[in-house]
Amino acid sequence: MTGGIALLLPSDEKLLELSAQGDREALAELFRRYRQIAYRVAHRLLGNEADALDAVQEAFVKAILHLANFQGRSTFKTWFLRVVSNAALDLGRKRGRRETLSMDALGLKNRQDLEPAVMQEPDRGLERSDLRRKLTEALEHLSPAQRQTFVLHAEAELSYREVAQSLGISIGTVMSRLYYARLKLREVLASWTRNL
Amino acid sequence: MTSPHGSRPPCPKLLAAFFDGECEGRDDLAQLKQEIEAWLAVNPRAQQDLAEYRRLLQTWQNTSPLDPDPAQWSAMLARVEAETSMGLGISECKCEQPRTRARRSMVRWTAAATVAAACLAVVLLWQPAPRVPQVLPPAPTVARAAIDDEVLPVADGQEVVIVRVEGADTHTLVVGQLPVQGILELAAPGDVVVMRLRPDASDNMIPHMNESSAPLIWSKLDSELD
Repeated sequence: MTGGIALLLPSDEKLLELSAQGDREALAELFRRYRQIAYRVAHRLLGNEADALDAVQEAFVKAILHLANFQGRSTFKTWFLRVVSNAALDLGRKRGRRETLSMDALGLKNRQDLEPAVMQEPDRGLERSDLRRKLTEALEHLSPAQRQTFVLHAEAELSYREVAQSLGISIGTVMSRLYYARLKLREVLASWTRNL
Repeated sequence: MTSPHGSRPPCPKLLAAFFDGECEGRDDLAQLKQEIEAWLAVNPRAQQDLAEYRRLLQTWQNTSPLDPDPAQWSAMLARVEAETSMGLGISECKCEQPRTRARRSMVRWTAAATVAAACLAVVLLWQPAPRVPQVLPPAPTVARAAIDDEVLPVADGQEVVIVRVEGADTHTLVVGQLPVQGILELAAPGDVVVMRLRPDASDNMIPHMNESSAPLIWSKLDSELD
């Protein structure tokens, strides 16, 4: 009966059309479908929950209000993830500037000094949180384009072709960005990956 | 990458793509996949790279951010609904009735500004010799263009009651019978022809519209409501 159930689910395109007409149920369903993946991509790019939530909210609003920009050349998912990752990178740039000033004033060197390590994830403890911080720090060594490409591939699990469609670049460029991103990450993480 | 067992390694980017599983299920890349697999089999260093890469990928997957609290999702959805409904309402009306919608926005802004200004102005002048009927001339086009493009979500149509208009405001804005409430409309000069004016019941005086270029705010009749 799985096939029968699947047939009852409206497509993303249908939900988009209804959402753009003000249908709240359609918007809520679209939101449920993509909030998690959007949040994870944004979190990887921004490194903290609050900023990631802001970026996801902005991305949903932008996607609905600028639906005309979605021309159906790719799936809604790939298009939307581009909107999310762009929103996250923009937010990161804005927050980064402000944060540098405020952290300097507090005498802090890293934004992680401001965040609780264990409180957010009591079930998994320090290890997972600490590993993610290391990855976030490593990602910051990449260019925004490399970071965006890598996160879309690794976190959203988009194929090379989907990443290319999402970002409007060639598969060769995706391949190149991922390759150099991985080299850089390996270099940055070399000191601790051996101890994993 | 020509010889499966040769010394020439595959292009690093192709090797990375292979590590990423990009060759899986691709008939057109089957040959390439076979060659890379054969090369890997005799190159322990590359196997080590592959193992390291897979470990990094595993670490990445194991550290995926946890979902926020459900309440945060609900709050976010509410904000998205609010923002998109406001935005869609504006764009929808721009397609169908741009001038009317722009006027409503202007009315909201103007009405709120008028109420605020009322505290600083003097009482509305009423004079016994109106020119009735009076046709208002067209509004300046520059002002109209600016209004059409600007969204000023100050107050909803039901949220403002104009109780008094005073002083200098009477030269630039004519208001219907006070208190003006309900869904307010702003008419530019030329949009409305005043056919009849009734004296106010309290003093039996009727307004003197001495500024022929003044726009007009009035409350819509029930029959005019959407």
